[in-house]
Amino acid sequence: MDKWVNFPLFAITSIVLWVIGFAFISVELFNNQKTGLRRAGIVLSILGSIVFASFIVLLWISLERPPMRTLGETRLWSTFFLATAGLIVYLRWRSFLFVLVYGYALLLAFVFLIINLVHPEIHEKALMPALQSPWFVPHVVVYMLAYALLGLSCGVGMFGLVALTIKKYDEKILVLGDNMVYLGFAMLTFGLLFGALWAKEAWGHYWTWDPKETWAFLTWLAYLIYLHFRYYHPNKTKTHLWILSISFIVLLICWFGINYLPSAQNSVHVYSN
Amino acid sequence: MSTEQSPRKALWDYPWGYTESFIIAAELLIFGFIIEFLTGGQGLAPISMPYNFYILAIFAGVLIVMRVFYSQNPVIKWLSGVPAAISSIVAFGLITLLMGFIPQIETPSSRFIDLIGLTHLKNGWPILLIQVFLLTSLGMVCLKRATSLKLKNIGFLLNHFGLWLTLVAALMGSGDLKRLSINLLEDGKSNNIAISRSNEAYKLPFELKLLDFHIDEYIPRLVLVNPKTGAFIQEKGEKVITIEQGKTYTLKNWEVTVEKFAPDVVPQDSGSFLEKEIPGSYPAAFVRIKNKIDGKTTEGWLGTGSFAYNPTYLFLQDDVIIALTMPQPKKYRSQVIVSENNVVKDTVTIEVNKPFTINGWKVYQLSYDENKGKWSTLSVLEVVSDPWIKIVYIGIFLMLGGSVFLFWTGRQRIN
Repeated sequence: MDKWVNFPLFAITSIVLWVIGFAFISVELFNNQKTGLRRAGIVLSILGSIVFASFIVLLWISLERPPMRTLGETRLWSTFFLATAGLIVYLRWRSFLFVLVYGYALLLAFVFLIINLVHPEIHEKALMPALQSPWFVPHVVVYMLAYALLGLSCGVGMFGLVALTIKKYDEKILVLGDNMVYLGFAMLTFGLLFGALWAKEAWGHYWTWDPKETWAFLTWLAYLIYLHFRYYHPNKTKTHLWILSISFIVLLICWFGINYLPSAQNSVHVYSN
Repeated sequence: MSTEQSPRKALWDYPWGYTESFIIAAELLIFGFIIEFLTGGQGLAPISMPYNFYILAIFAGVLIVMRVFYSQNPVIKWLSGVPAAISSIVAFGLITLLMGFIPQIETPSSRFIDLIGLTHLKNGWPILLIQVFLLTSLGMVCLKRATSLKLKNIGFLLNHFGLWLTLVAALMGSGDLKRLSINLLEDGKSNNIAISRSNEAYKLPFELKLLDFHIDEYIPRLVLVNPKTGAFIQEKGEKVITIEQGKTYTLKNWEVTVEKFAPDVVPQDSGSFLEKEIPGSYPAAFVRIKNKIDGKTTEGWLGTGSFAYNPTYLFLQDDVIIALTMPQPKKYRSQVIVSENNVVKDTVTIEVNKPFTINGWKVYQLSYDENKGKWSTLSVLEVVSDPWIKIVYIGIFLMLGGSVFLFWTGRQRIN
């Protein structure tokens, strides 16, 4: 049975839980005291993630393969990771700023979710032999985690630029961005290197400058530049915020954009129908 | 350390900062494109053993000498600093960006874009010069940090030296990398002649004989097709139907019951189908179809067809036919006898993602006669020899360790 037909039900349930959960949590924006409402919000948010995760698990079972082959399937993972990572980041620091980060994470999660609702793909069970490997799941999972974290860091960058313009900038903003980039970059490196090790087993060589590899490498370089520039010139705040915001565009081209590039028409990484 | 330039410093006064670094990186790039053009725009032929090894030894030696004896020289200081690092990363990024937008080709012709190397950047002069710049800067930094092995420096070295090793081994190793393909037929004969991408024959130090090539296929899908365009009539997000005996499916206005599904049939002259597994046989299904609007029923065979026979389908309407898709391969594998000097060594099964290793060569399942599908008697294997792979792996594992470090410690507070 194809479980995708149930997607709207699960998706809308999750959205409702996340939105109400977030609304309860953001009461904090107006009221600094701990309230029962906020606790309820956290519980609802967790429930939202659980409902969404159940859908992924059911889809996995019904397809009899990991739901990671098509772009639509990877969007499911990023929706889940974004919503969940946003909540975890909020629970870790619990301050005003992090309520906004959580809100931004949810917004980004909803964009990916709505694309899947409006443009559902044809999901089939067939998984081409090249993807049948123990590397498949870790490779995609670390990448989707990296994308979620770096997506958050882009939001932090843009938020910081706005804060700078209205003269409300606080050094905490970039420290938050740094934490996300360090985690995200570690994940990005894992994804890239797992991919190289897998490519050696599947295609005979660890690096062939396939368009997806080229763009993945560019993404990696962009964040590499951020890390170095940030570390050695800690006071060039505006440049840091711009690098954070722009690097995510490179990442998005790597993830979706290359499907539209003439240079990528022969990529071995395009698995959609 | 401070690399900020004071406003009074003239260009090229020491210490060099970002301006000088980016000028040097840009000059290297432009210089690279010029040499590429002057040397005919065919890219660089990679250097193989033992010369690549000598070059690496000299390069590493020069780095060490520079570090040990000339560490106070302002140019060496600059090479070990952040502006050189960032400008070389940016220049490498720029070449990669060009590669990301300009379609890259294997055999350049004589268009201007080919002559300056823009269509084969991965083995051209610009990337080589920038890589040497990057590797010098990265190497100097590693040597600088290697002198004190504090915990913080270990994480640093895992990442930086790992990257240096990986890049160096990939660059130097490209001259010794052999990626060849070999065609094996189920004809009982051994073969040891592999062919390179530029169609040169290469004699392998072992022989391969194909015992059996086998494909497992996915069950075909039941689809509606527009006979004029050949396109599937399918809504986005609609579920995919893999055919199953005894099931009833609804496609648009039709209810389709699968009375029988047979994985292998051969059509008979009488128009009936015989269940038999012989070369050219294919999956077929006997279906009964009811039009939900007018209640009319039809029945008949649907077959995927194969290289030997045409597919069978049914017209539901002038512009709608119902058919089975050609089955997709699920797994394909070759059972191969490996021998050396005509002495049988082993019988192995080679599958996609499951290569076989012999004497430093890796043998991969690459392809088959796609026209014949599961009846292909041809198996195409890829044979790869990459003597530098171990160094690449060491580099990769160092970087993985470095990433764990990065993940664990996160950002060290500065200031």
